[in-house]
Amino acid sequence: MNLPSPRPERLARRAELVGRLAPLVDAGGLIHRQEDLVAYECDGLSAYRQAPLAVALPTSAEQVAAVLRACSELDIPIVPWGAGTGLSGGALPLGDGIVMSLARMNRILRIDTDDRTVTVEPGVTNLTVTHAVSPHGFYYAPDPSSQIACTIGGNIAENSGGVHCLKYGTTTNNLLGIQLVLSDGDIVDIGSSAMERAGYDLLALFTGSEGLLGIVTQATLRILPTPESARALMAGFANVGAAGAAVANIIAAGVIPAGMEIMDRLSIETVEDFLGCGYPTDVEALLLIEADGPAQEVDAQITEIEALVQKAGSTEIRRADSAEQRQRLWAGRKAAFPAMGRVSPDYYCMDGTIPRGRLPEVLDRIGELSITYGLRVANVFHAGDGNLHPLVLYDSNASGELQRAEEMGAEILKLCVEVGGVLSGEHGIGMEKRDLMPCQLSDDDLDLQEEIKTAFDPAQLLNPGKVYPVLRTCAEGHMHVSGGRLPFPDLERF
Amino acid sequence: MSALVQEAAANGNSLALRAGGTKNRLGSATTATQHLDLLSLRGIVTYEPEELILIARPGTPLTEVAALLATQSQHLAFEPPHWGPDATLGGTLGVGASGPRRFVAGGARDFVLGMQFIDGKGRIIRAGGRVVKNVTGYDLWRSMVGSYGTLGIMTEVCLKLWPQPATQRTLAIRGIHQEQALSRMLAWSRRTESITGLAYTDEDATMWARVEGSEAATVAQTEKLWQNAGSGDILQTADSNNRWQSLRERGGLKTAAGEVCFRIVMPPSRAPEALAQLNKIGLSRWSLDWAGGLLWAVLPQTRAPRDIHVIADGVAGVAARLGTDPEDANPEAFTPLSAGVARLNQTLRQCLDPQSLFNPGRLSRPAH
Repeated sequence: MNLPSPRPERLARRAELVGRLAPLVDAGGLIHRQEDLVAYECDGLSAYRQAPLAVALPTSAEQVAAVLRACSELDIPIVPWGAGTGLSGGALPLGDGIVMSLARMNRILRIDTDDRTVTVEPGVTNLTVTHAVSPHGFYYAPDPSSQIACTIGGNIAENSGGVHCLKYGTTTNNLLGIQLVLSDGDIVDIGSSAMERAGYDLLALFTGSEGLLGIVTQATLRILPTPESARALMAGFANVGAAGAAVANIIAAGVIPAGMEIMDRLSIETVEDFLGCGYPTDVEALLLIEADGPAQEVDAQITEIEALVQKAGSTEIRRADSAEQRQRLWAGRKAAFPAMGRVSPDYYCMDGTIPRGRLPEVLDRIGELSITYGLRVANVFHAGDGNLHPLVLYDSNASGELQRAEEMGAEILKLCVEVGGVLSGEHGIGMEKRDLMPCQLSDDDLDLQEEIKTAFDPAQLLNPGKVYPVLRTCAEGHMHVSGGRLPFPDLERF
Repeated sequence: MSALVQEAAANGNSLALRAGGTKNRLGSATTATQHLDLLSLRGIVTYEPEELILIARPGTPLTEVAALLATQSQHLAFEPPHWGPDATLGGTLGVGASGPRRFVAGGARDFVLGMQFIDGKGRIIRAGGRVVKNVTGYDLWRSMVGSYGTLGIMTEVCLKLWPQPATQRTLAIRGIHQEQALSRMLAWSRRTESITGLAYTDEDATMWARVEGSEAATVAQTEKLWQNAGSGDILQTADSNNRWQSLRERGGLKTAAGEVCFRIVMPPSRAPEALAQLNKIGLSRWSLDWAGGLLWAVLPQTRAPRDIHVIADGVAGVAARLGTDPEDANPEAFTPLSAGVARLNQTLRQCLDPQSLFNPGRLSRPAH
């Protein structure tokens, strides 16, 4: 992947741009010195870096609008930015554009327990929402692993999920209203705390649109009563197929757990070595299941789940009845990504989604790819919602390994599409996967998508270069991406 | 189908999309020049119970879907109202019809995972897929839901399914005062029990609360609610199920000659305010669902729709006037959009159906 070349005429307008933008934001709300721009050189896809012309940090929708209007007049592209934790290069700056950071718009505006909603500014972090509403007995369901740092604005842009998506949905299922600034500076309010909106479902359109259609300046989120009880269970299996069968049996029995996670042998061993959280190391697959809800319901579900995993041939079952035991079980799973750093200098995290039942087959084929490319792969899988995160281990200092990892990653994603899945479950297409889009979408699909982009942003100034392929062919090993070092090494990633 | 669309476009025709016809009372009459019957586009393509998905064509009757899913103890958790035996999947999604479980489970749009449709240029578009987590391009599949057929012709839809709860109980609190019922619905919607229905019927001053789940848990939770309320009859599974089917099927309250029904969706906490306003302009009968977030209101037909739209807008809600009979063109069916939202609606329509081929006029609103 080549970074888009900055246009000289835009670079030449840097001084004019800074002069125009500075009065539009609060004091200190415009970063433009080279040494200060370093912090905004990349998002979570850190192998690709480029400093923007400037970073605007507005504190209100009106300021966002004013900056957008000024950029529009000067023909300067804008990359919206939440916390920059995204893994697909969706917030990768453009050398001839500005970054619009919403970090200063981080207020909780209203908590409405009667309507079970909370209204926040986009720079509020995901976890802050839950912290703000928990004294009232509520929580916010979508819980992407980077929730301590990632923002609601970014969550809306990427339709973020987490580990509870089968039962509680992703961001789009938990969003009731937004305020949006369009590329021409128009401020539009969509929805309220009501469960339906007037006109077309614009919230659906804007959620997951990766910052290409507008900039969210306010969001009204659905919050849920904190469940009375939550219990977890861990089950080891002699093969991944048996773990997958256990998941199918649980769903067929009419039980929908809050979360179900499968880890393969390499993941289990690495995590156990890293944390010592008590995972069995003599199994090929580990299934973690959590049930939540009213206490009696949870008790009944856990009993049923235990019987079902036993029937599916689990060799080792452990229940976590206390909150402490439960957290310990989850700690390992949450540490899966950081733990990989101990066994490999680099890893590249993939994010395809597949139909749950195809897991054994997909893992077999990933195993074959692993042999072909000579790279190890650790697999962690959101078994409830089919979101697969293979971690391709490589060493960027070894000649050719990075490229092999990239090529293998592309093969894995194409495999996901082939079995009826999609290229991205929660990380987004961004810059990283744009050239794979033709593997999933037809020319007509892509034409329509680009027509929509053009209709909402005729000058192509909002996050240009992301999501859409440069060439309309299903790329063969041309996906130049890298896990590299994550800029937030301590963040849980799953 | 694609050729048919292109032909209509070339001949300057527009298409009235129609399936079972059970939701015609919702929205305005279309001014389309040509009928397109989608009932023949029926049938289940794939049903995979373990994957919790169903792929079907839009003309498939809801009853057929429900019967098939019931064989595996599954269902559509958004509990779509049928409003007649001919209701189809396509019509349900077209109007975005969601039933009593809406306030906890989500609505029709939340259960659509993907869709194939024909756009206004005759292109076959595939959006979304068959998985819950998917960020690959704009979410056009959900945008189609509730668009009243004005963005494209659905040809195949993929739905997320859910297990049917093993048992249910309903607590019927009779003779409860309206204000008390409203505040109790709000309070109970915050509780941690598996309360999946909260409704109030004005004609018998009864509040209805449904609990679902496994037998033991359901019984225990219903008991807790009964103690909280201090009174009420408990309906067992079969009776409870019948009760919620009838609440779901209200389809607007029955109207007599000279009356008209409105469907108003608003933040639940604003229901008392809306009712007070509507009472001032002759509200005759009403009922509430979705823990207070959905109001069915019957008013004199002489009342200008605009008055009700103003009230809905005033409580951050939206109203839809139901047609009184098949001849009712219902030209002011929906609450006017703000200028900004109207512009975005127009922009989206321009992309998907630039010549207004599909159901023109179906989404009519009074001018501001």
